[in-house]
Amino acid sequence: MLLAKIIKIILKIMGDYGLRISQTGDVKTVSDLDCAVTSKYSNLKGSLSGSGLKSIPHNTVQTVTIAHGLGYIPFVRVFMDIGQNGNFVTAPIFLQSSIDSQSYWVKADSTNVYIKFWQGNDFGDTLTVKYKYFIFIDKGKL
Amino acid sequence: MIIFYKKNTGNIFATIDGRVHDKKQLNCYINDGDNIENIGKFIIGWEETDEMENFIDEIEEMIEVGDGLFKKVKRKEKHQRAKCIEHNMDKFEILQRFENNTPENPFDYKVDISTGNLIKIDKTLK
Repeated sequence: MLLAKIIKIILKIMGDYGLRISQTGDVKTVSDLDCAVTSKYSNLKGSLSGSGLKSIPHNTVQTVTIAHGLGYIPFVRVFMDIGQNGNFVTAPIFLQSSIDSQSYWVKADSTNVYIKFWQGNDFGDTLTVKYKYFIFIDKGKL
Repeated sequence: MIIFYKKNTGNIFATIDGRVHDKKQLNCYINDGDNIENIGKFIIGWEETDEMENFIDEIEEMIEVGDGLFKKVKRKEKHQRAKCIEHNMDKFEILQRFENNTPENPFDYKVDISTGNLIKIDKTLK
């Protein structure tokens, strides 16, 4: 009871159904941006996540294909461990230094997610990169 | 977790996270440019089937018995859930280590192509 008084959560029926929780102000009149939650918009719902290890030969574009089977273009995030130190950076990444170039980008269609890899370091070596991917149920393209 | 490996070498190249996998996830595959026939799957965890089973869930809840007075009560509820098939549960501890953000990850392992078992790569050997 006391908790309920301290944390004032105001709910409002929007049209026939729905839910709003305002951060500040009257929940009936504040804009959507002043709401902590509004069922007017969808929230991200995870679908598929995982990781991978990809060898990238010098100067050839490599592709990892993930068949998601959702039937629409999903919202996707991919992260790369470009420094090979466990610090993952979000793709797309276009990295250029005096001795090293690396590019990582992501494409998606209604069947697959395509993670693209390219590197052109000065030594001509093969590079191995770890990646993490998150494919959400939410549509990336409505 | 669904682990994807190369059938000719046993090398693990990708994973799908999770403990319980539905049909949709099991139909997914990851291809890093190799021939699809050369890609194998190693599952640790449960596979959901279309078959349903009953189970009893014990629920603890607080019931108001007076003005501001609450009592903890336990009750049993009957539910249904999808029947699951277990896969490689002897490797479940390894899966927990992958999930628990330990330095260990699936790429420290490979699939022994002669036995089909998951084995740790000996990094001292070259």
